[in-house]
Amino acid sequence: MIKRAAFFAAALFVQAATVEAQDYSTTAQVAFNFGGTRIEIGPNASDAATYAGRFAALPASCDPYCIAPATAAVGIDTLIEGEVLDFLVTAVGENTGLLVDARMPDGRALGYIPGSVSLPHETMAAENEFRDEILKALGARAFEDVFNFVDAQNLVVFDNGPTQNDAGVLISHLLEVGYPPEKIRYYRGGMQVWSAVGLTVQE
Amino acid sequence: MILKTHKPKISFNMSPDLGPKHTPQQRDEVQPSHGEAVSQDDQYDAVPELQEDVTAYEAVEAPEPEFETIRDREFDRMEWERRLTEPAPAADLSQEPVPEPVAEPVAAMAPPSHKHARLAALGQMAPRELSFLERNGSMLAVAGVIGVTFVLGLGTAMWLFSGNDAATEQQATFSAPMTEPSFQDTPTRALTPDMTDVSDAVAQTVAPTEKVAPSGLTAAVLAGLQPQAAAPQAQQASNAQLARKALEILGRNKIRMLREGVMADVYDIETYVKDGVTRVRLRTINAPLVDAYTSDVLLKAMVKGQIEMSKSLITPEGNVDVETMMFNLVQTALRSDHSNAGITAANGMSRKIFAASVARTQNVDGRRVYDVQTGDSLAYIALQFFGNPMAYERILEANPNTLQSPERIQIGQRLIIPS
Repeated sequence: MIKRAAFFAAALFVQAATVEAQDYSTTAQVAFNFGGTRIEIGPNASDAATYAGRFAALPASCDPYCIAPATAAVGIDTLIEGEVLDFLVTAVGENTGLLVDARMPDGRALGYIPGSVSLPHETMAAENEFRDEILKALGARAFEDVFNFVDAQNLVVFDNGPTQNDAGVLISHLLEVGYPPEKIRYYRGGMQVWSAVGLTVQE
Repeated sequence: MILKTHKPKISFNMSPDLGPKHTPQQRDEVQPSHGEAVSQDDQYDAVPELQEDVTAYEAVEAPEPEFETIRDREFDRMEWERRLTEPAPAADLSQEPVPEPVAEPVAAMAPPSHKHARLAALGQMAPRELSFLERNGSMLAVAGVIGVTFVLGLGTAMWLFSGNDAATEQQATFSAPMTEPSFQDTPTRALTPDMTDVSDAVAQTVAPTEKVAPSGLTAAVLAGLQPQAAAPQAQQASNAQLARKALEILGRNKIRMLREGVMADVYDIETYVKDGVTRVRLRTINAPLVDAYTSDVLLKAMVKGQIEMSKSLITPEGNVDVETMMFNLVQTALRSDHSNAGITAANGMSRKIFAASVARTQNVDGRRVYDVQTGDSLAYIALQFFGNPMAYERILEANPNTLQSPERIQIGQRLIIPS
């Protein structure tokens, strides 16, 4: 009896040790098709330091200085770099999702994640009369001012990074019009973390 | 948005009595600004609404004894035939909103002499009634009157779906048991006459800012939307006649209850699973949209060839989509009110079912395609994607090579859904 218990304990210990030994890091090397072209993202981009400095130098979006929250809104998952890479391959590459850049055009001009699309947060504000057209382009079905989001794309939204909150603004706009929260995710690291870990930036 | 963020400059004391900076209260302050979907506030707000719903329901249910609800599935045939021919109570008629200036309804509305009024309403049809009797020489005059009234009404209801004009309706109504030639006549009829009916649906889905080059149908629709166009009004008038006749088919009370249920907003869109397919349908609280009686009456009349079925209501299995049929019937009855409330309520039906649809499409080469599923009729597919069963014409037009006629849809067939 005691022997058996000891055996189980040993087995458990071995298993626990195995779990701890697993490598949770993600391969930072992906390739996928987007918009008819092959896109490759790799680590240790030679110009990473340049970009990291550039994005870090941008002023924070609010005064006094603030940091974006861990979650953009209730029900919105926050992703890390590995999950973004995975999303690019499994969703963007398969035409079932979009990596969305919430920055305004001047921000995006500084460089962006390859395979992302620009959706400046102001275009989703209620004031924009063409907002409905954008929602349709995202796959929503429209009848008068009623939207059906069954076909709408899965989105991962990012911005410059934790010092700015364009992504949070865009996400709140999307939720306002009824975009289902389960179809939206938030990449909080944004360009700042993306470039700091040395991933490819496109300009 | 500023509310959501945390100030990076913080200072705190390590002594335990001060506690962490992020107190629960502080989190609560942040909550409401991003709790659009599931915040607790919403849950609390929902409670009074529920109570309102209940009172609304009771308010509507209270006068129920007024209606003769036909719920008995074992309903005696003689009994309902008697009811069909029996003049409706005067109170019902006087309540009937009949705003449009059509000569016939006025006669039909005169309360004291219903039989005469009915005959007067049928006056135009008299010659055809004779020919019908001649063809069926053994028919008694009384049976003829009953039959004509019945057939007229049923034919009218079916016409609502195929969108014919008044001229063709008579043919449809008096056609002998559905023969192959008459069955083949329909597509041309359905295609030509009635752009306005489709335009109702299409106009609502075509945003003025849309940059798509207008197709033939869209161009027609846009032309139909011009203020000077008189055609839509004429169509509305004839729709009103149809709706009134439709009341005679299923009994005034049935449609009336459904219509009033929708008007009072005591209905919802129900999601259910049938044969493994998730579907949506209208569910009225004060009366079932489709019951055994309704289906039975409509289907029997169809089998007998007394009414012509719109092919857009045929499922791949060859069944008739009675639920979509009834949806359209109730909606048309509401629209024919000509009252703002009626039109708003009719539109509300479309909006609700559109929002509730769970039908998925795929993007294939930039086009939206839908795979036909078990139990789908083309009208039901149109209802889900365009909010109106009559918009099936749009789907038909978008698939000229793969779908020649609405009733030929197959399970698994890929249909392009135009946007």
